Amino acid sequence: MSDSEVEFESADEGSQGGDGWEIESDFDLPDVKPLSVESKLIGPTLSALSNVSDKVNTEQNFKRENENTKQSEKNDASSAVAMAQSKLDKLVVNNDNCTQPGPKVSEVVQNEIKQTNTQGWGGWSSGWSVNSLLSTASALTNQVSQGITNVIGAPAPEQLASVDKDKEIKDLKEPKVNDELTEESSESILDTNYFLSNVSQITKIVETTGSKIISGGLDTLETVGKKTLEVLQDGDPGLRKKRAIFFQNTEKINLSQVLQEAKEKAEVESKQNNQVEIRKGYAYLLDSFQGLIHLESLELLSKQCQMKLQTVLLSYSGTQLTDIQDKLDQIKDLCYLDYDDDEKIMTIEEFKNSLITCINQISTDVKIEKILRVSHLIDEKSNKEFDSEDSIHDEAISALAELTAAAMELFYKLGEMIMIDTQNQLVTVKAEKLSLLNESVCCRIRFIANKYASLLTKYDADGTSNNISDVYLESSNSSSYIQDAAQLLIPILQLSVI
Amino acid sequence: MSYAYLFKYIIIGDTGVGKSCLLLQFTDKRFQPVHDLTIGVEFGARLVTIETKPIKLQIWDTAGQEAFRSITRSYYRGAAGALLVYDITRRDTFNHLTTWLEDARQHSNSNMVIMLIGNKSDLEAKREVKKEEGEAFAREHGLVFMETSAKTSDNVEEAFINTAKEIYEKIQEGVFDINNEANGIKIGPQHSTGNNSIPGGNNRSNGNGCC
Repeated sequence: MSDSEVEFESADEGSQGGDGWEIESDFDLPDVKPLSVESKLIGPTLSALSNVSDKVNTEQNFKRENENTKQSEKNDASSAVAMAQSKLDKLVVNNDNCTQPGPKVSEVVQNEIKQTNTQGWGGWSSGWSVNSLLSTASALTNQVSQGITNVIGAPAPEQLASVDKDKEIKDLKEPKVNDELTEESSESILDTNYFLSNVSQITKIVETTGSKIISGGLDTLETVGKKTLEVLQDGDPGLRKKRAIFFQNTEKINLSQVLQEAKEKAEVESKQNNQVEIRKGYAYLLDSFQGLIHLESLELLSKQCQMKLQTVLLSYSGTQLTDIQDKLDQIKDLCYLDYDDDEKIMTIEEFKNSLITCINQISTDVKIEKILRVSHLIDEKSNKEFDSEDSIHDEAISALAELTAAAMELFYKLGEMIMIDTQNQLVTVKAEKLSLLNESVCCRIRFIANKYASLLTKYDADGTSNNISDVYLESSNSSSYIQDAAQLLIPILQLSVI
Repeated sequence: MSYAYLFKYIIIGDTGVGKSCLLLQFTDKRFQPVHDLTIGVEFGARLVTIETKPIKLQIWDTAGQEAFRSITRSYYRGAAGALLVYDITRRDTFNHLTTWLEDARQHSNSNMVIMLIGNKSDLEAKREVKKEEGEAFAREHGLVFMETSAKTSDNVEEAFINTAKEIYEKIQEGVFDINNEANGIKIGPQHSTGNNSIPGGNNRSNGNGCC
């Protein structure tokens, strides 16, 4: 374990860049207090699984999931009872034949369960349906365990589960201890409300068995994963480092997806309140100004380039690779926005000039008329008379969303043009200009926020309403969306130098 | 703003056949004779009604230029409908249809509804491709066919709406799994909870194959 951490740090050093360095999540080790070596092992598997569950979340409707889980839990319970029964049957055999010292193994499992409880199965409880996990775990148990035991030498999950079952039977004789144990694991894994209302003995047994099968399954999965990695590394000692260098941000969650979910959530919430509220939401407005869809397209482009980049890089080695790596890092650094001056604002004239300079250096085919028009209209609107504080607030949020959306579109179009541009000797200039463009838009966002905030101050001298902080909140959101979008252009620029 | 379904469309075809003009006519009901070349993809959206259901069409208007080809292909994925457009006054645009079609079929889901459109039907005097040829091509490849004019708006509404009808029918028949967003169909926000029993919607039973 500690070996791999050391290796990681060294890989880390080489490529730590401006924006959040992320370790591949399948190696990600959460801070786990070393209860025992075995219990520590569960960490990576958990994070890998919650990773999977995140992906599942994006594909499946959140709500439906939750509902279905509740509906199917009952069916699941009965099938799990049967499973528990068969486990109990096996247990008799296992008790006689068990080669490993019982107490030690059960201690391990015990530790794992404790671990589970303290860690909290964060990712799982949100979207991953328990019954699919159970069935996956049990299917895995049945299919894989046999082979694993023979080849790798990991104890079969069934064995682990049943040994622990043995302990549980003892526990049953001491109901107090058992209650405690089950209570805890039910809280961490499953919907608490449901179980609080159904406190029958059977449910509890089923459930503990379930969690034990899961931990057993996790163990197996974990061993398989480690073995696979070992085998891979035997053939290619530098793999870890390569992966660390090339696949830096692949696990990053899509920004557009987050925004989309926020928007949908806001829609549902405002539906419950009243119809007019919908118009106010920043995420909704950003979507209706086509900011989200352009961001989504930019993400698509960026991902494509990232993949191509990885493929190309893998074909290089030695000094050639370091040279290219240096070049790529240089571009990345140029794109990185300095936050030194976060008070800087731009007038509409300065904004226009800055944009023209940028576009001329990057791609004249991209039209800036739209963002200039939007910016101009926003300026005009902010100078008119407002009849209420709320109308100023609404106008401000709308202005921020519209300018952000226009910026997303601009960045996307620039990405497309950079991608098809064959004359690429000026990539560093492009990178600089993109950074300037990024800064300009953010300055403009700040200008708008300041302007509306001062308008609001006239209405709200004693600062009792949330309107002003709301405007500043959305303006900082806008800035971070814009900066994230600009970051998406980096792989596109990088690809154009290779 | 509330809709029962959202369908994703793509518009594809050679450069200059009038893809962007078709979109503008459909979304804004106006015609713009001089149009900037499309960079990458432009977006448009409009709400239509199919069998009393409000349906939002989200239209991805792709660049026809060869340079963008490799990029625009990635937008095909997750489209429920496609408008494949050629220009009836330019035979070469008709000749390229096979390539476009192969491309579309290869990079999209197999159930995607494809509508073949012969645009610029107002320019009868300059016609190079007979209507019958378009019909024959459509028949041969199992497409729906229509001649349109983005300038006069002739058949433009019909082209978009008929495609939507076809998709809607496929949903009713259970051909599309509406819960799989890769099919280019999304259920509207207020309908998301009640529609679990729709054909193809039950994907809970095969949750084992997740890894």
